[in-house]
Amino acid sequence: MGRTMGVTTVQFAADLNDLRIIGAIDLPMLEYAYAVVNNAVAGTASADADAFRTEPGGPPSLVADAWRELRDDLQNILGRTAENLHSAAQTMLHIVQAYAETDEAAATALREAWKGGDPPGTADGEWILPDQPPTVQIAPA
Amino acid sequence: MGDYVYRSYADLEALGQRVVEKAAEVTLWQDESYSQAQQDSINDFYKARTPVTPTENSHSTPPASGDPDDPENIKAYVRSDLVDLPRYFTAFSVPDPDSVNEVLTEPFYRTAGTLVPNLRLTRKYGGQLSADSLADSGPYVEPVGGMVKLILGNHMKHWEGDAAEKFHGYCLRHEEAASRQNQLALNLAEAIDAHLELRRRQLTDVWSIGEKTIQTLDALDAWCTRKKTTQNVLTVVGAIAAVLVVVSTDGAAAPVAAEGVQGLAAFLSTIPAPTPEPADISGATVQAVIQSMFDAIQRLRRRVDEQQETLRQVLIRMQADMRGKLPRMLVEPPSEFTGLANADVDTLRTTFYDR
Repeated sequence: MGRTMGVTTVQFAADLNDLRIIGAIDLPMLEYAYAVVNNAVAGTASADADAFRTEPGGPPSLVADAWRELRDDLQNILGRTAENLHSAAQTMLHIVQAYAETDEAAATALREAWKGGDPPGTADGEWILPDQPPTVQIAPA
Repeated sequence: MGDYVYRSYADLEALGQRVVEKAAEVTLWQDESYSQAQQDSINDFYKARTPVTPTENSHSTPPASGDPDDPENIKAYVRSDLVDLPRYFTAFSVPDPDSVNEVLTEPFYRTAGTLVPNLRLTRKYGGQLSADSLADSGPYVEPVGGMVKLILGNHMKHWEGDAAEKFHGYCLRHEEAASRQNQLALNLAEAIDAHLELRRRQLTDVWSIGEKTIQTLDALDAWCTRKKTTQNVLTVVGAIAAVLVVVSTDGAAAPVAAEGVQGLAAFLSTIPAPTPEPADISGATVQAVIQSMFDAIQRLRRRVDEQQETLRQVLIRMQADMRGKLPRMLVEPPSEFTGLANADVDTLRTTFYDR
């Protein structure tokens, strides 16, 4: 069950590092962005009543239902995208783990690389998020 | 709109009451109006005494003292005839559009700016749009396109199996999807902008009708029955057009989906543009001026309803357009990749990469 011949430990660790960056940094950052905008769109519902009220205590405007439905559609697209990215990140981290278990030296090198914060191989704009993403809000159908 | 001022329910009710008081006041010194009111008052006085004959003024009551054609009783008669008038103004009452503007519009502009950065928005027909509206959504939030480039350009170089390629495609589709999501966010921002602008203009227009009615009543001649006219135009007809935005890129080009979600302007181009409608207030007597006012208010109501219906139809069409493109707006990860969530390394070596 060993690693493929011809690939050095260093190269293998570097390749796993790349995958781990995707699973632990890049995809979570995308998930975070989508969760943030999902919540932002969901937050507009707090103003629905005042936005569409006609006379005091009267029925809402002609536009209310159509606008709310389309808003909810966008909210759910953004939210589901965040959820999908989360699943993709978890899958990627499993892939890294599965490969690392075949080579203890590479696994050790990987652990060492990630010990102190942002690992090698990250570019500007890639960093380990300090916060969990906000909980995705899915509007009911 | 430069001269927009919010008018509350109380403001509109007070305006309606001022119209009533002015009508009652002018009736007493404008000959023709006085004659007409006097006749109406007398007629209703006698009709009220015969139960089978309804009065013209459903609110009229027998005078407490004196004759129905005494000046004070005529004034009371005019007031009672117009007792429902303030409701014609308060019917347009809405919560202050500016009180919800930021909560409703900013999240969509920020979402658009997050998904596709470096976009500039300007109003198609002039007017302000805050430059801050397209600021991103805060720290830790990076543009979708940039992250996709980092994933594919920096970290996927050595992973080339079937599942890895599917994952590669999954990442690429996010760029295209982000562009469509961006457009949908902009559409929603414009639509709610249009709705709020319509509300501002309906308040402005109904206020104008009230003020110009008072102005026209004041201008009537005591002796002469020459018609007086105060010009007035309904501004609600331009509400939707006033908020349309034009999108341009700034420096780095934003990805544009080949078959993108249509913008609000594109939907409106298939709907005939509303023509501005005059709603002058005119008449030679108090009664005629008040009738002219009612006509103007009816026209305003029709235009408001038309604009709302236009917006509603556009939103419905936007939704149909968006749902037809849903697979390209909501990117699902490929099963060849998600199926590896619990895969062992032997499976990975055959599907992801042989390392």
